[in-house]
Amino acid sequence: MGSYYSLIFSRLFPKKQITLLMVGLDAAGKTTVLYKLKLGEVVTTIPTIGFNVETVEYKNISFAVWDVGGQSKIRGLWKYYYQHTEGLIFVVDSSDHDRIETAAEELKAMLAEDEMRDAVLLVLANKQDLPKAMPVHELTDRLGLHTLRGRQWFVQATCAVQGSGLYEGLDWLSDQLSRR
Amino acid sequence: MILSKNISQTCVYSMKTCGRHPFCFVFYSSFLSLSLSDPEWGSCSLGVFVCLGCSGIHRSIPNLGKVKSLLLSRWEDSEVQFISERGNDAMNAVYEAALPVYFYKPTHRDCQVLKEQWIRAKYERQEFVENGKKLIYEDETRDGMLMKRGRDNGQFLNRRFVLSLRDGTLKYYTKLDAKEPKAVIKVDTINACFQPDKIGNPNGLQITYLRDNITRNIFIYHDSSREIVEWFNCIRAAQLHYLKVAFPGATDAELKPKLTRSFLKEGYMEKTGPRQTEGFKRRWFTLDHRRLMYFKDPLDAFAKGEVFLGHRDHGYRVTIGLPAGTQYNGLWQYGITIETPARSFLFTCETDTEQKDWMSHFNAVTVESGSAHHACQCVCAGGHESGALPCRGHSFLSPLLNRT
Repeated sequence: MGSYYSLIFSRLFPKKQITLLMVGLDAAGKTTVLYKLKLGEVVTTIPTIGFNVETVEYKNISFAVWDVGGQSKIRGLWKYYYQHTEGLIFVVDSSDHDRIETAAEELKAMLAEDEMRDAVLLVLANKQDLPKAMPVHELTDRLGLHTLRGRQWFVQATCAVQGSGLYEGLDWLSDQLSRR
Repeated sequence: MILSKNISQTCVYSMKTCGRHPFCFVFYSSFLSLSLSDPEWGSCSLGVFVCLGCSGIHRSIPNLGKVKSLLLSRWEDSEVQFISERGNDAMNAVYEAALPVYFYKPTHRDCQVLKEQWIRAKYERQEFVENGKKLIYEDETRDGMLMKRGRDNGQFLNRRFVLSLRDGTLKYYTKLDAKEPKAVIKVDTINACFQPDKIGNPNGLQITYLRDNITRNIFIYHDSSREIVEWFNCIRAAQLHYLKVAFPGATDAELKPKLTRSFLKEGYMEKTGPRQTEGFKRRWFTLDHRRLMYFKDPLDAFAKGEVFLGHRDHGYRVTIGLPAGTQYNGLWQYGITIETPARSFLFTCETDTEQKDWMSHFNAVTVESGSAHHACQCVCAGGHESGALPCRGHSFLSPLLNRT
């Protein structure tokens, strides 16, 4: 009987499905973020050649997260994942001062794509535990986020290996996307 | 075949032939054999080539700088210049200049903890750069706590372990303030190998030693991977120290194979008893060079029995299948028969792949002449007057025990 009611309930209030695309330069920590959310533990990762995809259940929302490799020559493949993407998670290694401009360019190019017109943007300022990590306001400046027009965006400080900030990021995404 | 027209990129490809990474046993005679499924990686800050698995470890250590793919990343001209002036041979000459004989250098087959700690010791801590530096592994004594699995209840508890280089012993204590150790293990009877899967901990270490002619297993781990790998290399350092005293004339190359080693193969098979009419029972088997031990449970303290695998010329034979007329009354159907001068042992494997794999290992040891191993025919405990070095199996060797 209980299962009957839960069936009715799930028919009446189907679990919301959200498709997220997670990209960023190589070694930003995308795969570590994905598996920290999925398994709650830090896995040993190798550079992603291709992609990983996992479904993460959080607050009655089912997030389908696509984690696509970030080596320079495969960044051109990101565009194949733009379609149906409601939220873009852009992961940045906050301690990588040398490549922050490269990251900014990649992000800018991606947001200019027509298919990404409606996607909300969550930037994860990752590796905040490292001594040289840039704070959120500096990253926001250097990524040029203040110049974005007609885009909902948010920068969340994270440390994927400790798990800090990740769920705050998902909270923001679910807030934005459940309003639609 | 994806080959970049970029000149820098081609330079990196052609340089690959001069660089050999310790874990990568994939060598290319020409860069044409490269394919996308087998990309290789390079560290732009260290100037060495690494495999995919190691590139993951390198990039997880912030101090080691950047790794890039030879195929999937764009290399700056300065980076190409940098790596072309270095390469693995040249950099190993620097970072392994003072690598001690006992220090275990992992291969691609080894577990993650060994690889990660090797990379940290070699590049991050640069332990082997300077000659004459006293390393922590050579300390007179090492005293610390390790989690040890209880023999009967299977529970891991914190135990004090003391390794003494001079005495050549490893002791452990059940109570912190205990006067007498629970066990005193002579380092020359020890084998130690990492067993993350079997123990269920990424830092799990199995220590096997001989007590009253019976093999005893203990299973330990430490939460810190650096600690557990240090213990492992300290044991090897103590073993080498002992062997150098015992065999003053022997060279390092002769002594190195006598230190700890990995098992050749482990896994389940079914086994029948000596009458060969008993039901086949599932057992966990460990092949440690010429000793095939079997256990009820993979984490048992003692083997139920063991089979010694001598040379073919001494009456040891391994054949596929069971003798005619034997009933396959177990669950598994892929038989193996081992004949020894004393008796025959019948086993069954779950799949033909397993059967073939066991067969290839058994065949390899029964045809291997091995420098000292022919001497294992006799059960000699301590009789090395001939001057020959005892093989590892020797110091362990217990007579053909079969206690089922």
